[in-house]
Amino acid sequence: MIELNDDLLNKYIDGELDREMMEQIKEKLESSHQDMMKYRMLLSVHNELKKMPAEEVSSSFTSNLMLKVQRSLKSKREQNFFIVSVLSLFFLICVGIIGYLIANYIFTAQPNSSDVVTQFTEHSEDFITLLKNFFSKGNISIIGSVFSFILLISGYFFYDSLKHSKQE
Amino acid sequence: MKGVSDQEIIESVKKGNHSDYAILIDRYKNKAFSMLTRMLKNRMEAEEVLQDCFLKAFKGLNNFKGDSKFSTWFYKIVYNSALSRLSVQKRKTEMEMSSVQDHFNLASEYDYNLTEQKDLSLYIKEMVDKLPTNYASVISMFYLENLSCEEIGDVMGTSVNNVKVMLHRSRSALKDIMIKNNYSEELL
Repeated sequence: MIELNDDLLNKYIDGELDREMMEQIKEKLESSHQDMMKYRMLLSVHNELKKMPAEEVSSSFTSNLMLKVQRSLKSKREQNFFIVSVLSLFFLICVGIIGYLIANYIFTAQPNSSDVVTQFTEHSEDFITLLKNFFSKGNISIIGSVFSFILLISGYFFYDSLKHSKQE
Repeated sequence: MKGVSDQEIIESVKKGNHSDYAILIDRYKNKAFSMLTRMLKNRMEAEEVLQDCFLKAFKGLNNFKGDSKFSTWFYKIVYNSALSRLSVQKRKTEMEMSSVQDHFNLASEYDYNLTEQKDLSLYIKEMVDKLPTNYASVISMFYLENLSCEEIGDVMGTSVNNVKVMLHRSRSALKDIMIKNNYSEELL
């Protein structure tokens, strides 16, 4: 005959045992008053736990949370706008530099060849030289400083906007 | 809105109807809050963590593919957030002590006699609140959220057998506490 313990009775309550074992336990419970009491107590705890009510959050929980959700969406949009603005600024600066170089080249270049390929090669070589001159030793430090300054300013504002959105 | 499934609500939120997220919040807030209060043993902290969990879930909705139930996915966020909070507060020792392999007696840990006899359901609720973190969360998920042992195992990152052991131990411990505190008659 099997000896009933809490582990077996818990499995019996959850229906985790095979049919044969279930039958054996049932018989044992019917024959032993003490085991039956033990089983009924465990079953009562199980039933009481089923009836246990859920804790309740404060009444304004959902509305407060939805406000936070809306704010997070807004701050995400603001962040995206900020990133796009910074990238656009960079793009415009780059376009400005290249535009300046091209304009400078067009106004200073003198057409001396009629062949298209030769003309293109010459123009490319001239343009590369111009670029080299522009990014020469003297200028590179100035350009680097300007870019670093812009990066620092953008980084600061980006960090500040992130901090601001987190605080919200 | 009772007939609308979680998946339908999620699809609606993903389409831009952000206000529909309130339905999901209302559906899960109290159950998740019960689990958090039992894990953190502090209502204010539990509410704070719950807000973060809902925000995390909202931000991660696009990554939710629907492979598992939303409830399982969400309770995983809740459970892990509670664990992170506990580890920050250096309360993790309690968690480690309550692992299934440890041979400690729940009933003796929480053995105290109340001077006045309380309502049985209220007493059981109080005792569940006093269970160690892992046990309390298993009880919450099994009885309040109606998650299966497999789903609880998935949420907690443990085996189904461990979940069953924790569930059975909690039940037995609660029964023993009831008997010690003269609630046998009410139980029967």
